[in-house]
Amino acid sequence: MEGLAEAHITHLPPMDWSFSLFGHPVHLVLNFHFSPILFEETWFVMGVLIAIAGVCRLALNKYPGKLQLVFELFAGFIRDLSVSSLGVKTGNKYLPLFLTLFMFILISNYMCLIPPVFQFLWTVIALGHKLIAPDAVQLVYHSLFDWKLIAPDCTWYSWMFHFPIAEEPTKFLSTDLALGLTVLGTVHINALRHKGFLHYLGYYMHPLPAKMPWTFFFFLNPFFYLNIVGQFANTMSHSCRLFGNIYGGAIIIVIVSGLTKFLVVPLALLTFFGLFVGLIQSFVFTILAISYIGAMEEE
Amino acid sequence: MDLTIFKICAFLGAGISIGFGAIGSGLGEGMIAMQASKNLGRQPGASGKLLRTMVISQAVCETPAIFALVIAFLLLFKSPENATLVQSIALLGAGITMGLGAIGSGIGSGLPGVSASNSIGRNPATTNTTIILMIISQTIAQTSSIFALTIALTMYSKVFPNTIVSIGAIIGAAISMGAGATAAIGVGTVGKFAADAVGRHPQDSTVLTRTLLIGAAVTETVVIYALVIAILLVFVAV
Amino acid sequence: MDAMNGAELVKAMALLSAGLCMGIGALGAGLGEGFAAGKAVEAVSKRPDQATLITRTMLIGQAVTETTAIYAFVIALMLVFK
Repeated sequence: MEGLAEAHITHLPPMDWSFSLFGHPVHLVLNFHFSPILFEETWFVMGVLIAIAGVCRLALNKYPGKLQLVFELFAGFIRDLSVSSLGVKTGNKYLPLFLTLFMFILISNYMCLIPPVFQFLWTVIALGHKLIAPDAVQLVYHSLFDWKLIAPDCTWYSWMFHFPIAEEPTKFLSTDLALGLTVLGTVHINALRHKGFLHYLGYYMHPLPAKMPWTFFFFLNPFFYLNIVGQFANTMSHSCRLFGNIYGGAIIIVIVSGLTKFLVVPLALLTFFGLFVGLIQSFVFTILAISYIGAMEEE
Repeated sequence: MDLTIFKICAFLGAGISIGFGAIGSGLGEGMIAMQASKNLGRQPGASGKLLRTMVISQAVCETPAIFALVIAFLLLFKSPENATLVQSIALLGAGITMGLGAIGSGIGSGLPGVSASNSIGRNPATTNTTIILMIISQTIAQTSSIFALTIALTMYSKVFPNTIVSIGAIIGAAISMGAGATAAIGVGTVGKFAADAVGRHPQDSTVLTRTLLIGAAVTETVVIYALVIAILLVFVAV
Repeated sequence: MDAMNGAELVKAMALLSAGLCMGIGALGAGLGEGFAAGKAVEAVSKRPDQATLITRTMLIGQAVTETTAIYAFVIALMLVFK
């Protein structure tokens, strides 16, 4: 299928990663992990969060109004979760991290609500432009199958077609991997500080016992390497779950919108994939972060 | 001729990916709905909580099917700029990986929702703790489909050398990851008993969560073996 | 495709069977370990004070079940690197 949907998926610059794995060169071309305006989108989300924080701080009242009540309920809910899983001390210590993770991912996922305004305007203007030209009927008929016919790149409004669409920053693997690595760092640094190095190392010998004579042979223990791989697999699944859900939803919405050339908004799809899945995935990310910190701390 | 084979494999891969991938999520969500209806009959007063739990668990259980749909869309709209036989088989392999890998994850995600419905039907006061444990176990059961998604995406975008060894490696990796991810049904069973247990004893939710995580992690190591073999096949042995 | 000689075909089939071996081998072990862990969770819910004992027993049982998966893993590794 030619046209807008494919242009959107493949117009991102392909980044060529070449590295050597066990001496064999590996070339990966991944063009779904970066966008021209990724940093600007992330700054926008951060700006929204800081604005909300500033407004709430200035408008704090001893007798909470409706908005403050909503935020208090939400903060209390996450605080109950983390304190019941991690205990009072650790739970309160990492509470800002969990709240920030939840709100950042939530607002990032809700950036899908910003519609592709410029593409819509381009469609309307292009069709209008061609309607006042001769052979209008032929052109409209052919334009339904090939975009380039009704608006070549030399018109004054052609920049609208190439304007980057406002997307969720969590749609790209880089953001999600960054969030996952943050949680990984927190988990292990907390475990090291809480348990000491030897007890922390003993976790990796599971299920073989970590008593004194065996700890010297920890390199021979096969479960040692498996547990290390398991930790990385944990982080990978943590970030890729968010990536897969949001990227998948975005692809489906772009393709279905592209079928109607961005004129009709698929509302039902947008509500499910954008709002519902966005909320649930941010909640799942936060809860799993809490569980990982608790699991590593106690073992 | 190469272009024909490319298109054949791309379409076949897309069909297999979503065709098999929808089995698991369909079964899982159906089981959830079945239990929700049964518990509504048993306790109509808790209908609000039961409905909310059912919708949340079904939405989380949808994830493996979404992954399979993503791979199917990517395969459908793949532009043929490198249409050799090996690349075509790579696309087919991506479809098989994701298709088979989503079956087990879907069923494994559905099982915790089943017993969460039962818990809430028995004792509606424990709803919040049950929902949290159910969501945790559902997401852990979906780890296998995430592994399958990464292997499928790698096969989709990697440029393979043009030998017959690559064909064997691709099909091997596809079957390894695809069939290995069916072990997620076991992880779902852990979640099923965990959600049941937390319904009976909600005050022990911390200990239960910890046991759940340990048990699920050890069961997951089997899927990690399959992932390691698939990664070795796709990156090293090719 | 370049010339397809016997050695390459054998290697291709070896890689394919490595995948087949690990894939189907992981199935049964995963299912079994899952059942074990599930019943362990149920037991912990009945007697939460015995949690460590139950967990340890579960881990021993799961380790024995894992040996079948390890057999499949070892054979698959040998097939990949032979």
